[in-house]
Amino acid sequence: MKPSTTILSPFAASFFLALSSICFSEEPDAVFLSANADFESKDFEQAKLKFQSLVEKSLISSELYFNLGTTHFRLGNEGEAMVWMRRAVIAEPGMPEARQNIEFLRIRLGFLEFDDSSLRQLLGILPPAAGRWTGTCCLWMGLLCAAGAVFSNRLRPNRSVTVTLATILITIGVAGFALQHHQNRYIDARNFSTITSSDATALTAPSPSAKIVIALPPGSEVRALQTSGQWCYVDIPGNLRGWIKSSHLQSNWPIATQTFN
Amino acid sequence: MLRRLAIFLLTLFIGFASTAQEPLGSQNIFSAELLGGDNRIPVGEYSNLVFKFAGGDIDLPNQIEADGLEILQSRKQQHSLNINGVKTFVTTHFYTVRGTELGTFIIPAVEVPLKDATLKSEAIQVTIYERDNSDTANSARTEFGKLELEKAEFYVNEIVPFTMTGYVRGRNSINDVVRAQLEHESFIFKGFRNVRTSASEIGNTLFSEAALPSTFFALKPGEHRLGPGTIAVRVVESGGGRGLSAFFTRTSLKELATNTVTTTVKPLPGGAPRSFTGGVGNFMIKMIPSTKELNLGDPISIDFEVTGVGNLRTMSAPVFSVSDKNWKTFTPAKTLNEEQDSDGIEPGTVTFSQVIIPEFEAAEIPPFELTYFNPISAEYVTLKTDSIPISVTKDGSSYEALEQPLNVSNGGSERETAAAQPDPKFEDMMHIRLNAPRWLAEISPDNPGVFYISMQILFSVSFCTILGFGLFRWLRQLKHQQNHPKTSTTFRQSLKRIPKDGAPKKEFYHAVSTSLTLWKDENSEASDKAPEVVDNLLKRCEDLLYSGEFTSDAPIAKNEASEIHSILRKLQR
Repeated sequence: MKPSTTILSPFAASFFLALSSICFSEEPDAVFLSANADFESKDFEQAKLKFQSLVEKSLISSELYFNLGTTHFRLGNEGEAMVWMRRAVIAEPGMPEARQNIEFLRIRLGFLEFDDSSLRQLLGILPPAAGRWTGTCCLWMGLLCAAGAVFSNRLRPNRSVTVTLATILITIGVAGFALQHHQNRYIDARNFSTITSSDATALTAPSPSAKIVIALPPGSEVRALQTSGQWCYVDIPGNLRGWIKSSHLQSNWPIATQTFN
Repeated sequence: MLRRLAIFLLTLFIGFASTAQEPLGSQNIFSAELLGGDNRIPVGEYSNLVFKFAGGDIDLPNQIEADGLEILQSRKQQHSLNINGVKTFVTTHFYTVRGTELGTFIIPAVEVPLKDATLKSEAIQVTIYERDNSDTANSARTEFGKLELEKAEFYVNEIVPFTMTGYVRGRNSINDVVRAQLEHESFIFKGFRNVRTSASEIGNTLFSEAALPSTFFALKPGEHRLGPGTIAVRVVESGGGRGLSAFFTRTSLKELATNTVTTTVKPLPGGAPRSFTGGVGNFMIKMIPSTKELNLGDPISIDFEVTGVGNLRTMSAPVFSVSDKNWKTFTPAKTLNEEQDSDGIEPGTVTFSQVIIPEFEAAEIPPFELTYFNPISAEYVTLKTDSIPISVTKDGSSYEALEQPLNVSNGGSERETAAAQPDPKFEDMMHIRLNAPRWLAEISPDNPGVFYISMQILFSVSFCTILGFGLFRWLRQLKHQQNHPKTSTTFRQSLKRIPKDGAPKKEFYHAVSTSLTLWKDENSEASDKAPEVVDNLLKRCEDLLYSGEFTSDAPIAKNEASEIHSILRKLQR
């Protein structure tokens, strides 16, 4: 007895769906390993294209970023290598190989970086939303205490204690929001960019004829403050500010896929 | 008689006027003079040119253009002179003159417009000559510089020691050496880091001297004139010595120009061996491998210590004596500390660190070669290291070793123990990760999340509930107060309305009765004896007010009024 097509079609559809899902899940690994093989055979250009194709699919992996950074270095793009090493550390904080490569590039390029102060290290360890959670919880609890102190007859005998507690909680809440603001502004990787060009200079104005503030070696870290057309106004390590052509830098995070085009 | 006197006085006045005007006109003198007498200046040294103008002030250019000469204005000085009884201002403009080339040059005439006329100085012919070495140390001069080379003929890249010395007449005349400068496009100078101060006698005159030893090497062959260099020193003008007088020492900055020296730089002979890496001098080499037992694919870090007298800066790392493609080599790192550099007299040490990886089961590290040029024997010398036997084993995980960080050692010949702290050198990027990657979930752009929003809702509801209940209660109280308005007067206020003694009894007790009623309203829950006292007093008031025996117009007695006042005061408390 020949099964009808109406019975077969759901099976066929589910089979193809499963196959395509398997293919899709395996494909990035295969491309990655193929790129590694190209790297081993010193075909760095091909390896770079394959690694970049994975990045364009918005795949996130510290190994992918690390290998792409190493490939860029072998191709002589030291600034690009540095930005990918930083991205590898963002994807996997404390990745030893990426950290070692950053140290190597630091010695080799002598680029500028923001001071890694102990406060910055401490805030870097904290979860990204720690300040917001602390701020929100404490502020709400403080407001509840204050409302209770005003309106509740039961709390009336201990009103001074309740008001003190409310004040402390609201203060901690405000401090939490301040911490979050600091984290967003000075710690968040999305605010930082890396100089990828070897002839980048910060200028006093967004014009090629403006005076030079400082020449920035590739790999230098800057903090973007404002964008105006082709120019970006940045904070430079050493308490300096200047205008840099946007084409000379890449944001550490998120990864702009159009930069590959 | 009067007419004669008038003619005499007129003649006298004209005479005075003419004598007063005449010198003024004749004092508009503008002259130029090169100080020093014979209009000869040693090449590179400074002399002074002076322009004098009598009769006021004039503007002169800061710089005077002249071929082969640098003429720059240094200062201006004004003073007044009494010439033929007329006070005349004289302005002196000082210029420094320095010849950069040998020959005879002209300081051009300088023209200055003055009212209707133009003043013009005379042109001066100047001869720039090379000072004889014996003439350099001339005791007739108050201060001078001296440039002395170890040798005037040498090879390209050969380290040549030299000394620049500043001399100032007098004991302890040099307070400090501010800077020293000697430049030439074809030479690399090490810089002046040490200063030796002493004193010497030149032609029976005592001079303080500050010697600045250094080294240089030449980049281009040919004949080059080196110098003049300059040494800026602080010369003691007064107060020098020890103790308190040293505190008040007055100094002035003086630039001492040195003589020039003509050098002959010889090129390195052709036919240099392949292993010549740019070193010129006399060296020895020592090779130290990090390990002698390793797996296939493991890196070996080799440190080459090159020691000797000569130019270590231009030297590159040793190379394999025989080109061997079975060894993977990395770019060597060079370590040359300033303190360990050779000064051309004392030996120095440079270290090259080279990482090599055997790609076969090698039995030995092949010899390395280093060729340098010996300027004394004028020939190339090749140093060769011994081949070092090693044991390379091949095991299953051999190639995976390439994935691991390079075992860059700290130069020791033994393997590091696990507890030893590595001394990273970061001579190359780490190799790529070969294992399959771990794909991470997308890092969301810091969205608050459902839990966070739920928490906000929970807190908001709680807060709004408390706030709502509170407001409801407050509104209810407000409504109650509107329905049951309180008397506008309080007990405290009513006390003030009680009349004093002497007032009519009816009025007094009426006021007391009102106050007591207010007290009872305000203190309904009072539990001590006060309500009983109030009730008794209130009853007494009512008895007095509403009984027929009461004489309302009679004044209240003083003791009665004070008794009731004291009770009310106690109630107030």
